[in-house]
Amino acid sequence: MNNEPIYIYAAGVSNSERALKLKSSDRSLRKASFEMILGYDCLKSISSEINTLKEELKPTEISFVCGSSHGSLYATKDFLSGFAKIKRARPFLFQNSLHNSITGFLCQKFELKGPSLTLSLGEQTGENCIDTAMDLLNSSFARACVLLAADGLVEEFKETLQSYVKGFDLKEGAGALILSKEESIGNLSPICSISLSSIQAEEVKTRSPYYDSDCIESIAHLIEEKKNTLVRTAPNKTKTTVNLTYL
Amino acid sequence: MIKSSPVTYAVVKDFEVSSCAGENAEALWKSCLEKQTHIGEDGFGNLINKHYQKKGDPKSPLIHCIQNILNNQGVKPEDSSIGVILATTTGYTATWEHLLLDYLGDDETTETSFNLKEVFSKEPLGYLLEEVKEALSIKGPSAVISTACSASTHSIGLAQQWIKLKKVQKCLVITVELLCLLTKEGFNSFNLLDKTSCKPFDKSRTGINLSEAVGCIYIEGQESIKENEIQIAGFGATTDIHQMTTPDPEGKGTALSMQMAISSANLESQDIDLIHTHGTASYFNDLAESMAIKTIWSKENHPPFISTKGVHGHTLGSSGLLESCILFKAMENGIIPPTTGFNDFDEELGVKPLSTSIEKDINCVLKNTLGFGGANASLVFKKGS
Repeated sequence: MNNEPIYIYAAGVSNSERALKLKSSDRSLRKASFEMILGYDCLKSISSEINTLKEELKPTEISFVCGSSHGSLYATKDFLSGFAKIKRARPFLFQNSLHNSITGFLCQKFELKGPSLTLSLGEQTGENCIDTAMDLLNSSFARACVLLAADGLVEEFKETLQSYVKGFDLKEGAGALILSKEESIGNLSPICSISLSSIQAEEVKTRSPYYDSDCIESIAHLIEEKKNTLVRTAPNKTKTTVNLTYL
Repeated sequence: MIKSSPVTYAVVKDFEVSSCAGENAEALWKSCLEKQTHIGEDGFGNLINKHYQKKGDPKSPLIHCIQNILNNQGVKPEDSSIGVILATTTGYTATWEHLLLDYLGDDETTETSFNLKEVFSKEPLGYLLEEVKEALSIKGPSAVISTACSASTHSIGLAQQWIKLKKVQKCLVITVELLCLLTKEGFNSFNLLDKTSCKPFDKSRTGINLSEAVGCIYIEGQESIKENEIQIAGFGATTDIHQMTTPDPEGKGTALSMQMAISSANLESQDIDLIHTHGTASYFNDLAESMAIKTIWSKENHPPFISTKGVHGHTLGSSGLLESCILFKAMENGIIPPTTGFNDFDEELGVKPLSTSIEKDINCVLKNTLGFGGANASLVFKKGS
C-alpha cells in the first residue's frame, strides 16, 4: 500500500435547521429530498474549494464519493404514502428513492462529471467513504475526492426509532470533505493530513449525536476545533480511529 | 537501484449467476446463444434459484451462490485477505416496503409499530452485507455500492483497485436484485416498461424488462497471467450531469467512461473485439450508447456490439456482473452471442448490434453500463495470451 500522506483540503457540515431554511428559500430545491438538501447545503459550504478543483484538474480526475445508510428515506416514505393513497407512483419520488439519487443530484448541482460512487455500509458508512476515497487516491484513479455523507431522520418515524436505541439521541445531518494527495491544488493548501485505522473492539461506547454516516461530520467538527483524534465504535464493534495532523 | 514492485493482475478465477434464464451461468449462456427469452407474459423476469424460497428475501440465494464459489475454489472465507463488495439497488426492499406501506396507509398499531423495527433494520443496504459476512465468517474489507444500474460494474472496478493496491489478495464481488413494488411501479411511472420481451437498438423498441438476479465473481491478485485467464484490465467511470433519469443523448459521459476503461487497460480503441452494451431498449439509453460508439470508433468501423437483455431482462445493479459473466463465457468459447430482440435497423442510431452469433477469437472486451443519477461505468476484460 502507498504510504504517502492524504490531505484534507476542505470540510463542511449541514444540519436540519440549515437544510429546512434552505428548502423554504430556494425554489430550485422544491423537488429535492431532504437528504439531497442536507448534502447540497454541505457542499455549498465548500463550493469555492470545489470550484478550484474544477479549474485545476480534469473532470475525470475528481471523484465524488457519496455515502448514505438510509438513502433518501424521506422520498421513499413520500413515495409509499402517495402510493398507499392513490395507488399510483410519482416519478420524481421514485427517482429520489434510489440511494444513488443524492449523488446524481449533487453531481448535477456542482457539475461534477468525474467518477461518482454511492456507498452504504450501515453505521460505518462515513468511515467507508473515507476509506474508499483513500483507495481511489492511492491507486491514482483520482487526484482529488469530494466526499459527502448524509442521512435524514424522518419525523414520522423518529419517536418509534428512538425507542429502539438507548443512550444517545438520534439525529440527522451531513458532512463533507475534500481529500487529495497533492501538496497544493491551485491556490489551495491542505489543512491537515488524515489517517484512519480500524480494529475489532470489545465493547460499543455510547455516542451522541448519532446518525449512521456521522463520521464525516464529526471530522469536520474536529477540524473546526483543531483537535486531532476521533474514535468511533460502530454497533458491530468495529472501532475506527481517525488521526489528523495539522500542517 | 530502486526495485519496482511487480504488477498485480486482477484475475477472474470463478463466477456464477442465477437469473430468470436459469440457475447458473451455463443456462444463461445457452439461452443467449439460442436467442431464447425468459421474460414472462407480464414483461418481468423472475429469478430461478432453488434457494430462493422466501419471496423477496435475497439472503439465502446470495449466500449459497458465494458458498458454492468458495467451495469450488477451496477458499477459507475467514482469511482477512478476502474482501467483499456488494452491489445492489434494492437489497431487502421487497421484504420491508409492504410493511411500511401498511404503516403509512393505516393508523399506527402495536403490530405495525413492531413491524417498523423490521423495516428500519433491513432498509439500510449495509444490513444485507452484514448478514452475508456473518453467515460466511468473512472478516476482510467490505463495501456496498449502490450506483443504480452501474452498481456491479463499479464494484468490479473497485475490486480491481483493491487488488492493485494489495489491500486484499482475493475479492468477492456479489450482487442481488429482486423485483419490488418500488422499482416495478417506479419504472412504470416513467412509461419505461415493455410488456413484451424488449428489443435493444431496434427501431420499434419501447422499453425495458425488469428482472431479477443473484451472482458472484471471485477475483484473485496474481503477478503473472496464464494463457486464457481473464483479467480485469481497465475501469472507467464518469457522471452525466444531464438529467436524473435520462443519459445525455449525445452519449458524451458514457463515451468518456468507455475511453477511460480502454486507456487504463493500456489499450487502443481498435484493440476491443466486442462491446457488451448496457442496451436496455429504452429510447434514450440506446441512443446515448450508439452516439458513444460512433464517437469513439465510427459509424462504419466499430467492433461488434451486443445487448443480451432480450434474454434475461434488466437486472438493475446486477446487470454489470451478470453481463460480465456472459462475456467470460464468450471469451472462453470464442463465440459472440447475438442480440435477442433486435430486428429492424434504426437510422436515427446509425449503428446496429450483432443479430446472429459468430465464432471469433475474443481477447479484449468492453462492458458498458449507465445508471440513473448519471452513473456511467465501463470495464475492459482481457484474456491472457
